[in-house]
Amino acid sequence: MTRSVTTRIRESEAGPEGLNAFITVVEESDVPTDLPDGPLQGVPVAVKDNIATLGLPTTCGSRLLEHYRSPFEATAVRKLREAGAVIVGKTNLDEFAMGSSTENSAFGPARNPHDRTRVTGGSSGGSAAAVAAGYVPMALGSETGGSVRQPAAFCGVAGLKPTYGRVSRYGLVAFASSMDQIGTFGRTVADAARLLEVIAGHDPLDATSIDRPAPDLTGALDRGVDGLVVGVPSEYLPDSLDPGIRERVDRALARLEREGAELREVSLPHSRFAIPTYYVIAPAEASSNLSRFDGVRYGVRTEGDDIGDMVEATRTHGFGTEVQRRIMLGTYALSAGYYEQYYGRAQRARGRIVQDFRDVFGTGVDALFTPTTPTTAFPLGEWLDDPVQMYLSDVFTVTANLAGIPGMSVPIGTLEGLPVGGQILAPWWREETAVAIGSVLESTLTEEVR
Amino acid sequence: MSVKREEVLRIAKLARLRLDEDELERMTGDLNSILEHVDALGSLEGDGEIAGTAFEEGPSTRDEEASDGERGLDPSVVAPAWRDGFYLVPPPPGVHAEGDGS
Amino acid sequence: MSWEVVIGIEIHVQLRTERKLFCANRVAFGDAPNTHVCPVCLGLPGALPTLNPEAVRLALRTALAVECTVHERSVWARKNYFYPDLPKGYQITQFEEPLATDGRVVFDVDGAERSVRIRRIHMEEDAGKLVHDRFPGVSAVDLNRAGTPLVEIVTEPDLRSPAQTRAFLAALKQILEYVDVSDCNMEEGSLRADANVSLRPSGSETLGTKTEIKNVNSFSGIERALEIEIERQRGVLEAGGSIDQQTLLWDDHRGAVRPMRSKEESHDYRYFPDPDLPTLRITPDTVARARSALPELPRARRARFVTEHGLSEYDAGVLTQTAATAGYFEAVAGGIADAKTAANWVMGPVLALMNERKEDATGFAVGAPRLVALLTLLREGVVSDGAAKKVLGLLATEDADPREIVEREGLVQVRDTGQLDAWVAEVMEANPDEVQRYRDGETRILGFLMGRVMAASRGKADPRQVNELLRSALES
Repeated sequence: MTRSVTTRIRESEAGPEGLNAFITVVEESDVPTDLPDGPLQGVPVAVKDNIATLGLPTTCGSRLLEHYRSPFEATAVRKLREAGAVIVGKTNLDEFAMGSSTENSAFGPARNPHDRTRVTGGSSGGSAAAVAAGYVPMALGSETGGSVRQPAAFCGVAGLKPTYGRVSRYGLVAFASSMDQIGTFGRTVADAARLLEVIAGHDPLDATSIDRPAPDLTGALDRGVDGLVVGVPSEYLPDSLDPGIRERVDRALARLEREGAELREVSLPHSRFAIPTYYVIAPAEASSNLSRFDGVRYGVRTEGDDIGDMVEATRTHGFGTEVQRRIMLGTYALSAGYYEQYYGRAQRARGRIVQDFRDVFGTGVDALFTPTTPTTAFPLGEWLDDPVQMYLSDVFTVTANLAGIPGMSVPIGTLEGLPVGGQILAPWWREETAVAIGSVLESTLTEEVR
Repeated sequence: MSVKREEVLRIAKLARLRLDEDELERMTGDLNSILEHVDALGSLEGDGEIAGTAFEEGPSTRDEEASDGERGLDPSVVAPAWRDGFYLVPPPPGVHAEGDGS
Repeated sequence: MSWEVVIGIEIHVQLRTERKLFCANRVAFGDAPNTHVCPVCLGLPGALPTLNPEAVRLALRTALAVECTVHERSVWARKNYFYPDLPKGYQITQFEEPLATDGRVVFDVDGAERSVRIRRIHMEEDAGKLVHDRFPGVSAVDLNRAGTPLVEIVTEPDLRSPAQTRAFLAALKQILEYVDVSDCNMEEGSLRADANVSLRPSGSETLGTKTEIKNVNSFSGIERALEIEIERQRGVLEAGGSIDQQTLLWDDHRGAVRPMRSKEESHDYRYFPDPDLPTLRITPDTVARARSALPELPRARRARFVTEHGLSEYDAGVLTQTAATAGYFEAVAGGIADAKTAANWVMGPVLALMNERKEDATGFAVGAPRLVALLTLLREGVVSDGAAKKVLGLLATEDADPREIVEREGLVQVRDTGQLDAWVAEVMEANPDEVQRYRDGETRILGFLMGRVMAASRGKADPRQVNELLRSALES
């Protein structure tokens, strides 16, 4: 049965309605037949192409790694295989996960299954689209500033970003190491939760992965929200928010209240620093993380007369515009004379953002509810030339990455035929709270639509 | 404050990226519009702690039991240029220039 | 004008761990290129560093051995620069918050005691090697060394001459060997020193502009490089010129320094905390345990050898040169309960034999217990001094008990008075003239007669007894 999945993906993707969701689809003949007897036995799973896999390319959506096959495998992928999952292919993404639309891919943009003229969101757009199109019930993505939740919202699927340290980053090609985390997409909240259960856990190969008992996420699916205190941060519902999105958020909140949750207005006063903070720290770390792509040991080398020429030519030809922009920004923020003004301040602002969450969660609030994005999926090409506007589409998601808390996006309705996502933010290590709330929103939405 | 072209060129050199005239123009504009946004950080008051995320509580050293010795691999399979066990690279400026092999 | 020389040193010490600092590859010198590499030390996309606790233990030991304050928290940082031997495009090191600060090394130079303050000690990973002479027209990269653990020790500018600098480095090397944290092999690069040097008018408090000398791989090289650079600076300053702050490379073959090309030099390392590695925390308890596990250090040991074993300063210095020699000496001295004899033997025939065999006290073929056994035979008069020296040589080539060798080789001293009297009588009878000359007062002829008796015994007679017997026979 799984054999036909990869063929079906190939056929759909080859047609005029293709989403360009995959960079690589596994050959049907390469699908293993003897699968381990695990919780995902026989389940087809798509993997974002910045997560190292054996036997398949790992391109990161970059020309520089066009032919790169990792000689080792990510811990999360190893766990998937051990659970019996079938990896059907590697999904499209913004190059090195830098972007919010999956347009910054050397392999062309992914398209939103709900409207092929619109973006999937990003950077894990290929994974979101693959799940939304029904190619696979679940997929791995990665987050640095919302790269799972934002495309999940745009494509109308569930997207779960765990607590920083919950999932091993070993084999996830680094963008901004202090925020990077592998996350999961599911057709349903249950699928996203099951997938996270499989990949979660301490890994001695990642010094930032934490040894904590695995969360019981499937157990949380039926918990309900009775008695939970759900905070609604005013900063995430600005007057400028699209009224259609506002209305769907209000309806979702009303459903939660009806199901027994207590709603409480709260404030995260340093939220306005989130985007500036993120766009200093993430590029700063990225500028360093991407220094290894010098054409010496792997990747597509562009020759030059001397070593300096070769490295410059390789990087200039290998990296796309957005990646170069972020490397430049990050290099600038760390360079002599500017470090304190940018990186130093951003680190302090990050501390305040963390403190905001501590303060709110310290007053008995179990989770926060916000819109995932300020808009629905925008048309392809709309913001390609306006990096700042593009960055602002992460405004509600980056705080969770800066603070390391878990977050989830679930569909809460549609607006002009396009999905709207609602975001649940939970305290550190409390993914199950997000899953419980997400599950209730999912089931009550179905009733509402019905 | 705004970033000048010369500064952008210096940064590009540090980052080992080459910008032609048009790209330099565009990059300077992009960086300035992003930094204008980022300058909001200047209004953050006080010092505050800089420590951030959960990883502060991480284990500081690897578990020797868990590491199974050398995870050997053949580096040549992904190497762009390889000979006799070495990665090959063009020489630094000045080395080999006269073909003296030193 | 007279000038004061001001020198500060940065020393990179390769820690003798079995495995690399951030991955499980073995640290190996001289193996085939790129054979001790893995995703982590090759900087493959997605690989992550994990800290080797063994390296932390050795770094901690190093810091305590030079009396540093070890910090409860230190922070890993990235030093960003591009070079083909640096796989990740950054080196993991410690910058703003190093492992330890504020130490000192006390050492002797020209009979006087001096102290150099240690500013800081931090841990970092080594780079690989870029080789230019392997293939024509291209350079070659070997990453076996990449990720090898180092500590960098930075001194305050407390040294005042090249000779002092050399003495300091020798003292530091001795300490590092004592605490057993490094091979300290300069040729293999496990100890590398860079020197900062400047001149200022004598009596001035402000520091002059300094230059940095890199690429020196021997203590004598550092001394020479500094002498040459000091003369150069003196020449410039006395001609009314000024010194440019620059980095100089030492060329050992030419015996000269040359400025590094400016392209090699212009750096903006963009240090920032490494987000892949948690803050390194070392509890006061760990520090206390490491401190109590430190061995006695060279100066303390030397002083104790003087007071406890009654050795001269010089002898104590020779015997404490390495921890292994000092340990060997103490084992022997304790075994025979005679420090003086142990010192004479270890400093004399033993060290000579070690040199000849190119061994050190750790790997010396004649372990302390067998030397003790031999010296006991000597003290009991079973063997003569000369025979004992001969036995020592044999002990080095075969794993046998000294007594066995003495017996097998027929080296047991003859002390049977009847036998000795017979040899004495035989010699006196054969040499009547000499006997007469002795009796006429020419007592120095005794030596000749002694020699004849020893020869008659084929060297086996106990010389002390022969001496007594011969003398009384001559004088009766």
